[in-house]
Order: sequence, then structure tokens, then C-alpha cells
Amino acid sequence: MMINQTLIDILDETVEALSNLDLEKLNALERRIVLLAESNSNFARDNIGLILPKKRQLEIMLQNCHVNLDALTRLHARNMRNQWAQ
Amino acid sequence: MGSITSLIDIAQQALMADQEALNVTSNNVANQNTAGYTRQVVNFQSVDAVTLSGSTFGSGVTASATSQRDRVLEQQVQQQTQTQAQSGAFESALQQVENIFGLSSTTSSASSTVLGTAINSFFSSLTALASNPSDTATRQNVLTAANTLAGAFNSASNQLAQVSTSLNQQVVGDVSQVNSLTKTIASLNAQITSSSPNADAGALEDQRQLAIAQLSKLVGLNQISTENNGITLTTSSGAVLVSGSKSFPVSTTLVGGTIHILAGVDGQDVTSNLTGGDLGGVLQARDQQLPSYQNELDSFAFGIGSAVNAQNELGVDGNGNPGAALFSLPPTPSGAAALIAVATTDPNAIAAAAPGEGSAGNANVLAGLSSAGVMGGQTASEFLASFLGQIGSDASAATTNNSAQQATLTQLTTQRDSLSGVSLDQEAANLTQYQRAYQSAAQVFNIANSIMASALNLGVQTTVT
Repeated sequence: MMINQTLIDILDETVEALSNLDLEKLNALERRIVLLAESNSNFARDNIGLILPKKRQLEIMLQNCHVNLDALTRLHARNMRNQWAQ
Repeated sequence: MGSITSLIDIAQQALMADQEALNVTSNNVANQNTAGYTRQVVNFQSVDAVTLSGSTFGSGVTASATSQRDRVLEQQVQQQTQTQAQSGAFESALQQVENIFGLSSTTSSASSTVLGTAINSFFSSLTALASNPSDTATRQNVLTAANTLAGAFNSASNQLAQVSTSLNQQVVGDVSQVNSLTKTIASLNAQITSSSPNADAGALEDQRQLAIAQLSKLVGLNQISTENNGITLTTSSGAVLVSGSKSFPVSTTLVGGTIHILAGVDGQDVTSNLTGGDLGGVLQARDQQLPSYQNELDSFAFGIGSAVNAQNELGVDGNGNPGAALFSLPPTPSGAAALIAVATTDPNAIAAAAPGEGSAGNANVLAGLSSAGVMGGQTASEFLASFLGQIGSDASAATTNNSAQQATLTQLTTQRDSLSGVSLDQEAANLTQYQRAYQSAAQVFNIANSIMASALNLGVQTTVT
């Protein structure tokens, strides 16, 4: 069984859920992809041109998240947020 | 104090405080669709108690409204707005370049584009000439195909120049909007400093944030909070746009046919180091990407034209004279795509014969140029495929990048808009939720990467931690 379309759907939904910070949906997607990985289904090269940009999109988003999280965590840890929010 | 009158006073204060809370709530509801509006919350504060003869009497309660503003998130949204606006403008410019070369999601090969078809037709006409070198109509076909090829180069080059011109116009339009907004921000700075030097200025601050957000769509900014609730804005390269109640207009000037941007107190040229916003994307496309494509196109026109000219000059034309250049070209590749033209209207000028023979020896070699390395070891078709492939790949990467930046902007905006308080507890909960969301998404990415890498044997896997 080819899982390309499923993988495309999961990546699309992950980008959307991460945009909306929908934790419940992200947890569900995580469970879905773990099951997918365990299903021993095949990934075909056929529509690689469709899936690579989506993977790249998620990768860029995660990099942005990482930077933003770092900044927020740093400020929170130093208890500087209150000063900023004055 | 403990009299009926004072009890009534306390009750009245409580009622007024409740009324203030209702006003704030209705104000929030009324402004829920107002751009830039920051939700306000009510702070109830008990008035100092009074002690008389050992007994303490409460003096009532007052209410005040404060805006739920988180400047860290505001700044992150602004920075992301700048990044997204730049990637959007860049993507838009590259899509125009794709259109010039007839590239779309349905383009199956470089040879089916206008330039690809023109190149194939030209070499096909030379192959036909080799079979029938004395036929005038066949010779005329070669000239027609040469004209079509030169026209395809001219057209692509002109359209690239038009994109550049339209980007210049976009720069002028953006600069005009920047000046209008910086003037507004400076004016709001003055009002805020005067009315609320030490506290949130509510609606005025909302208006200033909105203006800064609009400015962020146009240009990359650094924002510095100053005393008395003021804000100083500079470009990403440090040129001052707003300082206190004063704005410093940005201007444009024409340098070598290109619009340059002057900004800051001394009006320095910031064109080469301006990033972020629509201007950043426009300048990135105009000054980096387009010249690179133009150079490639020029080299291509020059390479094909020079190779054909050199071979034609080695043959003998239809009048028995030594062959001459078939294409007129500039002395160097620069500008070749715009200037390439067919140098003759005489079909006999094509040197089909090789010296010392009266047939089509040279026409065969001319036709064979289609499979010769006329472009630094690459054939014309290979070079075109590589050139168009690069444009398509750049445009696709720009689209992907812009989609990701847009999604990140949505995420930060969601976070900012859902802000319920600035208490450390609430903040910690928000951060934890953000962290978990990130971890789940990272896990999805890593597993997807793993599924694809093992199936495609891509070798190195990327891991997001």
C-alpha cells in the first residue's frame, strides 16, 4: 500500500494545527504518523514533488517556532516578561 | 466614617466600579473586529481603609481598565510580519519570472517553452538546409527561425527588464506609504508621551501598534522603547525612521536606471542593506535574483549566437563568398539577449557549403551545434533545461518559504490574540502548551522524514530537535 497521500495529508494538517497551536490535534497527528510508520507501508517516489515542499514548509515552521520558543522561555526564566509587559 | 452616609458612599463606589467593568466589557465586545484593538481588563482596587478609635472602616472599591498588551509577542508578530512580507514580495517577483519563460506546474520540459521551441526550430531548419542547401525557401526558413530565436531572447530580456521596472515602481509606492506611516507614528508618540508617559496609553497605543504593524509589512524595523512611553524606529540597517515626535522621511533617487533608497538623519543610501517587509523582498528580487537570471540569459544568447557566427564564418555562402556573422551581437555577453538580432535578410548569406566543396558540409556542422557544448561544455538544450530548472526551483522554494512564514505569522498572531493575562502562572502554562505543540509537530516531521528517507534512500536525514 502506498502511503504518499496519507503522508501529504498529515504534513498539511500538522502545519495547520501548529499554526493554530492546536495541541489536541497535534497529539492525534503524532499518534497517526507513529501508526503509519509501524504499518510497513511503502512510500513511492511518484509524487515526491508534491510532498517535499510540504516537508520543507513544516521544517521552516519548526525552525521559526524554535527561535520564538527560545526567546519566550529565556524571558520567562529571567522573569523579564513583566517588565516588558508594563 | 461608620455613618449611613459613608455606607452609601461605599455602595456607590462599588456600583461605579461595576459600571466601569460593564463599560470595559462592552467596549471589548464593540471593538472585537477593530483592527489593532487590544482587549482591556478591569482591575478592582480597594480604596485605603481608615482606622478610627481602633476600628477599621473600608472605604470602598475603584475600578480601572488596562490593556492586555504583551510587548514581547507584539514584537515577535511584527518581526514575523516583516519576514513574511519579504518572502511574499520575493515569491511574487519570482512567479512573474516563471511566467516570462512559460513555466507552470504543467510545464513538462524546457523544450516545450517558447525559448526551447525556438532553439529546436532553428537547429531543425539547419538540418533541413543540410539536406537541401541550394533551395531558397529552405534558406529562408533558416533566417525565419533565426529571427524567431533572436525574438525569443529579446522578448524574455525585455520582460525581465519590465519586471525590474515594475519593482522600481513598487519601491517608490512603498516608500510613500512608509513616510505616511512614520509621520503618523511620530504624531502618536507625541500624544502618548504627553498623555501617558508612565502607563499604557490604551487606544492611542493601539493605534501606534497598528501603524507599526502596517509599517512592518513594508520594511524591516528595529524598535526601541524610550523614556516616557516613546518608541524609536530604525530600519534593519539602523537608519532612523522615527525618533520621539519626529519622523525622518525616506526618499528615492535614480542611480544608473535603478531606484535607490535614502533614509536616516543624513539621508544615507540604504538600498544594499535594507531587509524585511515588502521593500526587502522587492530589493532582493530586483538586485540579486533578476540580475542573476539576466546574466544567464545574456550568456545563453551570446553563447549560441557566437557559436553559430563562428561556424558560419568558416563556410562559404550561397554567392560563393566567405561566410559572415549570422547574428549581430554585442562584444561581450552583457546585454546580448536584448540586442541579439539576425544580421542579414539575404537567404544566401547562410554559409551552407564548406570551403572547397559546393554542397552542405558546413550546414551539417551548423546543424550539429545542437548537440555541441556551446555553453561551457553544455549543449544549448542542456543549458536551457538547467537555467529554467533553476528558475522553477527558486520560485518553488520561495513559495514554500512564504507559506511557512505565513503559517508562523498565523501562529504568533493566535498566541498574541489569545493572551488572557500576563501573570507568570498563565505565562508558564502558555509556554508549556507551546513547547508541547512544537514537540508533537517535530515528532511528526522526524517520523515523516524517516519514512521518506528510508524509502527514497536519500542518505542524510534531517532531524528537528
